[in-house]
Amino acid sequence: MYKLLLTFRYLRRKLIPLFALAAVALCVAMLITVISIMGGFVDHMTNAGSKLMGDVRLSTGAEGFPHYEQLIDELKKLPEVEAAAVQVKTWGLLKTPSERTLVVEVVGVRPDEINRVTNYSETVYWTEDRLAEQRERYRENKARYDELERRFLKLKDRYAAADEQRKAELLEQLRKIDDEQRDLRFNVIGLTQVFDAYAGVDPESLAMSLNVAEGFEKPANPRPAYGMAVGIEVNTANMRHEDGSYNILRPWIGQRLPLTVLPLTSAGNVSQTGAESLDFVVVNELHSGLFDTDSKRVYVPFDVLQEMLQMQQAELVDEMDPTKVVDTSPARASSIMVKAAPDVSPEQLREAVSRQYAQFQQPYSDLLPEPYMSIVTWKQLLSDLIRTVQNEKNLMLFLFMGISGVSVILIFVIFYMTVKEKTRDIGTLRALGASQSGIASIFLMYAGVIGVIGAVIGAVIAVLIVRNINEIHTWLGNGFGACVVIVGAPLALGLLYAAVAATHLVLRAMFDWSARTTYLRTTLIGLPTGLLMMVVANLLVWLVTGDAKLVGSINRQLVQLTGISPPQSPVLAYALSAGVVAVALAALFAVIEGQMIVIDLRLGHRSKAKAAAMFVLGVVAAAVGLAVVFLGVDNLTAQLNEALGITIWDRRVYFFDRIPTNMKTHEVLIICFLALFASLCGALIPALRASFTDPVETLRYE
Amino acid sequence: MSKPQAQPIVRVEALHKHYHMGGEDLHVLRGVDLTVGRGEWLAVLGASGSGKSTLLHLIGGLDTPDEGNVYFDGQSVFELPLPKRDRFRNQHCGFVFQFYHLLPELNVLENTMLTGMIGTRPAALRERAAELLERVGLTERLKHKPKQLSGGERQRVAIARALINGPDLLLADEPTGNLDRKTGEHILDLFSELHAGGQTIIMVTHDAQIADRSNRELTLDGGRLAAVATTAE
Ligand SMILES: Nc1ncnc2c1ncn2[C@@H]1O[C@H](COP(=O)(O)OP(=O)(O)OP(=O)(O)O)[C@@H](O)[C@H]1O
Ligand SMILES: [Mg+2]
Repeated sequence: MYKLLLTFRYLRRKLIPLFALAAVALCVAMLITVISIMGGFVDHMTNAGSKLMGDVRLSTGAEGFPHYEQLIDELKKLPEVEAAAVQVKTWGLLKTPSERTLVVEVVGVRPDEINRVTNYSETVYWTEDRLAEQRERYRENKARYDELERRFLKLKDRYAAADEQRKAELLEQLRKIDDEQRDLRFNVIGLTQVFDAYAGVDPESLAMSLNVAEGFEKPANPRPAYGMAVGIEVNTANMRHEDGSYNILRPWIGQRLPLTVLPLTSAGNVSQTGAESLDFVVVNELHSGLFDTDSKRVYVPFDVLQEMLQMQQAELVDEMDPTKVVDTSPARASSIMVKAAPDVSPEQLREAVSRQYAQFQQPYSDLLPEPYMSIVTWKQLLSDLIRTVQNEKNLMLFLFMGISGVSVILIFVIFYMTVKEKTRDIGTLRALGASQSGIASIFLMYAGVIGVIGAVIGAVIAVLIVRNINEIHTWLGNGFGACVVIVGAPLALGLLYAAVAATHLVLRAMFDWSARTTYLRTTLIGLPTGLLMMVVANLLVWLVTGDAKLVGSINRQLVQLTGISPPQSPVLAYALSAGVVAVALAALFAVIEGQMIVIDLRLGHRSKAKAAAMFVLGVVAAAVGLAVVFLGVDNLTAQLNEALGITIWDRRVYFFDRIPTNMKTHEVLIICFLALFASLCGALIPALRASFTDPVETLRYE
Repeated sequence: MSKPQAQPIVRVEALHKHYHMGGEDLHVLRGVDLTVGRGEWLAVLGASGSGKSTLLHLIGGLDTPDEGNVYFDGQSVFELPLPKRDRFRNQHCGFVFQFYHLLPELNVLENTMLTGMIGTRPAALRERAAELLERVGLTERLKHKPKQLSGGERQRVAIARALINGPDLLLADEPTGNLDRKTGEHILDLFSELHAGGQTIIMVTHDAQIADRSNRELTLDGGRLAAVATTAE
């Protein structure tokens, strides 16, 4: 009963519990955010990889390979294979309606077939649902536009009647309205075009047939053309909103675009006939979520592209006499995508396909043997990316484990100080008959409340961050840049704080400037704690991954953060990184304690001498810390950019156009309980110390 | 002044206490014997450093002796395990200190209730606390924090706090030591009142004039207790 009362009184009276609370909340928020993003990334990649390219791909160079139909038939006989699809692929030049020429990856597919291997149909952007959604947007924008138009006209009338001075003012207003109208106008006109084009036609079936339905093309063109599905980012006038939706400004739907490709002979030489050009009508757009794909790729019918590239089975005829066959060459394709049957891994599938191919190619002299025909799983295709992510994930977990360790220590320090400050009251309570366990439980309850509230706040913050990570990312990228926020803001705040606190302290402590060695202790605790943390963290990584090399590389990366070039020897790298962490931690401790003392001082506790000494210590330590940061500031920002992935979520590097997240309830709960556990751990020793306080000792003094 | 004690409530037997500091041995109590009867008001006189506080703490079971024992109602205090000793102190002893030792976070009412909230909470604790505070004349100050009170007022809160569990024994260590004479007199008036109501009190002081208010005086000298009347003059 008295325990609860005191717990809440202690929480209410002091600023210090807020620090502990903030530390717990921040750690929880960070860990949940990181785990959600990493989890989302891995999930997304696993999904997108196989969905986009099937499980295994057989391919050669741009010249292609023959006998693909027979090969597909053979592959389909394998129990490991669920489906297979053929593609021709090349690079081409696409002329846009605004007369620009873009280099695009042209893929010839049979949509029905490819859809059995990949998620082609799911990526189709224009569907009935989307049209309905865009009609809604159209209505809103149109209403807004009309409203602006009315205002514009009204102002224009007034403008005509106004005097000189008023005219300038009105002109400014008119200009503003016009500016706002511009994008709306494009959107309204653009969407009208799209609706017109799709009037009476099902956009999805167009994407699946890659044919131009009758009446789709407006104005109707007597010359027949084929359909083309274009990656949504190819048309840069499709502006992506933060929420992932697109603002359609100058759509290509229903427009005829000339595409030029370069045919190659089976030997890989440029065909003598030169470049081939053909008009295609844009029938739909594709949105896979992989920026790389969406910004480059266009899909056209397989047979059409094959013919343009002169890769079809050809009876080469005499030019003078079209009935006279000179020679024949078998049809060629660039790649075959294979989808695994349920419960078959990509690796197993690759094995089976390779075996099958080795048998299949033997009777054909014009088919390359397996090492030259590349047969790879989607994982191998993305291996560079996957390795990077894996490395980053390890480094992140390592870093954040350390940071969470700091919060335990922070709580320890905060509680240690609180207990010290409350010694007298603890003695009083014991004199009144409170038991040792009763005293300990006051502080454990205190820590428990901080842990629970901190975890809840942290989880809420994390949910907000994770939900809005793309908006936050855009904001960071556009407004300030992460460097500013991550490095600059704390620095600026720190300097501001130091300036204010220093003036304040110098004034108060001018006459009482005796340093107290006892307070060195807290700072010095940082050194062995840092070393210990590194040992434990290294051991953990090693035990969990069983990869000694990884441990070495993580340590080297940590050393790199300081700007020191890391030694090759893993032992030296380890020693150096441990030293760096220890010094950083000691500096952190000093700063934290300095701040707490300043706060205490404001509240009128503690001696000026202690505060001043602590502050000097804190400033020195912070200077050391800052020097470390400054020496390696380039390195640090670069590493932060990469490690945190928030600065520039480079869509090219990371493949996905949005930052994927996946917040799992059980992970959130585990982290929250860990936070509670951690704060109890941090408070345990101070609580025990409190319970062993000798009451007689405290009662002897005022 | 002293009268025969019918029922001893506290019996102290051959109590020894040493302090060791830097190799030096300080033998503070050298065999203290004492019997206090129910309803007595005993004053222990002694110079500063003679060990008065030490003796008081030992009687309340806050400290442990090197030798000897304290019997409370016939029960040996130091044979009790620590948690039970804490409980015994909570239920049977009320401490009043020279420097009040109120908890700054709690207001007057809460400070008074504190002893009651530790251990088994008695019925109608709040009413009882309010009643006690009325008796010490602090009815108007229930919601005030210790910082807002004068020294004498603080000591009165401390006395109310010591009494809330209805202790058999009130242990007061220089209760007026930090107060001016007039305020001190008020506190002693309060003690007299309590004594008249049958409260057993052991009070420690270095001031003979204050000790005179009690009904029995002893001095602590050379680590032993002696009757005032026989040793002095
Ligand atoms: N923890 C300790 N370590 C060493 N010496 C101690 C300790 N506690 C008490 N003493 C010594 O024991 C002696 C008795 O102390 P105590 O506080 O009981 O005296 P006192 O009679 O209450 O004095 P005062 O009237 O000044 O309060 C003193 O000389 C004191 O210095
Ligand atoms: Mg004393």
